[in-house]
Amino acid sequence: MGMDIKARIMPGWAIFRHDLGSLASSWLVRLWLLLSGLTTLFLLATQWRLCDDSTLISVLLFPYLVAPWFFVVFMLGVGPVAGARAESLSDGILSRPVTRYEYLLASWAARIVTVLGSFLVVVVPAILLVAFADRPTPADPVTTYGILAALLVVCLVLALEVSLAFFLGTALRRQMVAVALLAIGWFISATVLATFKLEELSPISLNQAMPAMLTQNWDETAAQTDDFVDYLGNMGGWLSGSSDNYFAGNSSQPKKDGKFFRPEDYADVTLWKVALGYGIPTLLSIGLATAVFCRRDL
Amino acid sequence: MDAAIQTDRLTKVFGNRLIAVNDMNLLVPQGAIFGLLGPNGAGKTTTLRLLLGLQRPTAGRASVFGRDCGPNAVEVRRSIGYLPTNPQLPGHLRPVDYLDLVGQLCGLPRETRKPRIASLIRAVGLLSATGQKIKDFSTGMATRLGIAASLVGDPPLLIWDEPTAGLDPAARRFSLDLIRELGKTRTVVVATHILGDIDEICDHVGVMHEGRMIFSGPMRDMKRRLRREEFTLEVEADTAPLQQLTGRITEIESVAAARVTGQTICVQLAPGRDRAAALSDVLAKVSEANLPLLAIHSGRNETENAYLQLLEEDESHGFQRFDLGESPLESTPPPNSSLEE
Repeated sequence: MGMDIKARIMPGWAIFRHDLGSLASSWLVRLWLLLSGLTTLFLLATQWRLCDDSTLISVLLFPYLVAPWFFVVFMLGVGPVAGARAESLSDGILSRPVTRYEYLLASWAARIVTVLGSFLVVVVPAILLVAFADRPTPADPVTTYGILAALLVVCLVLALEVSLAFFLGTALRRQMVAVALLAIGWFISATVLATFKLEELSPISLNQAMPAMLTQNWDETAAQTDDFVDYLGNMGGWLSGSSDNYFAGNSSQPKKDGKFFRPEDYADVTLWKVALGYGIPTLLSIGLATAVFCRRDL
Repeated sequence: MDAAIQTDRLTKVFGNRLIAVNDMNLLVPQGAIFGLLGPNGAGKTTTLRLLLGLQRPTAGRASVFGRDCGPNAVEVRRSIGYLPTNPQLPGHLRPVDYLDLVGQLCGLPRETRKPRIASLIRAVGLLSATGQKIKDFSTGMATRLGIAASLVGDPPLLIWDEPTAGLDPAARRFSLDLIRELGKTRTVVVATHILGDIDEICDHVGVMHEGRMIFSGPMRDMKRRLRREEFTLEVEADTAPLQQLTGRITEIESVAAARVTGQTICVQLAPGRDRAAALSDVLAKVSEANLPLLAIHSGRNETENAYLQLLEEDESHGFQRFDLGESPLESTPPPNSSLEE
C-alpha cells in the first residue's frame, strides 16, 4: 500500500523537483534574489532612523506588494508550456506516463515555492532585524501575530500573481504577451481598487494597511472570527435579499454598520477577508489553467 | 496477428485551416519494425503525437495495444518509448540526472531505475560524457541520450521520429543497428523521409501523403509494386566506342531501347522478357566490345522507386482519392436506426 502511494506520487514529485531545480538555476531567480536583497538593504539603511517598526516593515514589503517585483513574479509564473522551447521540454515530460493534471499542478507548486521562498529568504531576516534591533526610534507594539499575518498577506498576493501568470501563460502560449498583459492589467486594477477603497483586493491599500495589521495581536483574531461570522450572515442576507429582489422585488438587507470600510484607520483589513479576496481568484486561476491545458493540443 | 497500433479514420485538422491527418487507417502488427514514410509535411509527426495523446484527434480514434489514446492515457504512454526529432532536453542536467528524471516519471523504483540507467548509458556510448551537461552535447549525443530515455521504462513499443536526422554516418549506423536489434524483442515504429533507412531496417511500411495513408503493408508487397524495366551500365570508354556498343545492345531482341548519357548506357527492357537472360545478353555484348565495365545499376533504389511510384499514383488519382464509400441511396438508414450506428 505504502509503495503504491509512493509510486503514484513519484511522477508529480519528480516534475516538482525538476521544475524547482530549473527555476533555482535560472538567471531570473538569481538576479531577482540579488536585486531584492540589495533593495531591502537600501531601504533598511535609508529608513533605519526615520521610521518606527511597523512603518519600516511596511516599507520593506512595498516592493513585493506594489512594485516592481510583481513583474518578476509574473515572468516566473508564466506557465511551463508558454514559448517554443518550453513546449518542447514539456513534450519530453508529457510523452511519459504522466497525466496533464500532475504536470500542471507540480509545475505550479514549483513556481509558488520558488517565489515565496525567494520572498521569505530576503524579507524574514530583515524583519527580524527590525523587530529585535535597538533602534533610535520610538518603540511601537509590532506583534508576532502582526508579523506572521503581514507575511501571510504578502504570500497570498504573490500566490495570486503566480497563478494569474500561470493561467494566462497556459491560455495564450506566448510568454511575453502574457507578461505584458498581466503587468498592464495588474497595475490598472490595483490603482482602480485602491481608488475605490476595496482594500481586500488592492495591493496598494494592503500595503497602506500594513502598519495597522502589524500591531494587531492574537486576542483580536477572536473578534475577527466573530466579524467573519457576521460577515457571512450579512452575505447570506444580501444574497437572499438579492434573490428576493430578483424574484419577488423585496428590498435588500442593510449592512451591519452601513459602512464597508473605514479608510482612516485600516482597521477593517483582516486576514480572513484578504484570504478570501486573494484565495478565491488564486483557486479560480489554477482551475482555469487546468481546464485550458487539459483541453488543448501541445 | 495482434495489433500494436490501430487507428480508425483518424483525422486531425488544425484550426479549420490545416488538415494534417486525413481519415487515416493504420495497423501496425505486434513485433514489426514499421517504417512510417512520407515527404515533409505528410502528417507523420502529427500521427505519432496523436498516438501519444499530446494532441487530440478531430475525428476518429487511435489505440495502442487495445487501449484508447488520449491526453490522460497514462497506461498507453507507459507502453511507449518516444524519441522526438532532434530531442530538446533540459540543458542544465547531466545525462544520469535526466535519465533518473525519466525513470521517476515512469514510476520506476530506485532499485530498478539505477542499474537500468547505468546499463543504458553504457549501451548508447555516453559513459565518457556523464560529467558533461546536456547543453554541451552534440546533436548525435543528444539523440543517443534521447534513445536511452525512450528505453528507460522498458516499453514494448518504441516510436522514434526521425532517429537519424542530423547524424553523422557513424551515429546513423549506430541508430540503425540499434533499431534492428531492438526490433527482435519489441515493436518499433520509425517515422522518416529517408528511404535508405526504411529499406535497411523495416519489415513493414506505411506511406503517408498529404495526411493520408496511401500504402500500408509488408515491405515485400511494396517492392513488388516496383516497375523494374531498366538498368544502367557504367563503362570506361570514349564516346565513339560507347555509341557503337549501344547500337549493338539495341539489336538484342529483349531490349526495347538503349541510350548513352556520359559514361553510362541506360538499357530499357522490352515488356514481358526474362530480365536475367536480357542482362546476360547485354553483358556478352560488353565483353565482345572489350570495354571495361565499371558498374551495373538496377535503375534507382528499389524502395525509392516504389515510394515515388506510390506518390505518383496517389497524385494521379485526383478526385478518386475522396472516399465515397457506399452510395447514399444504398446506405439510407431504415426509419428506426440511429446515426451512431
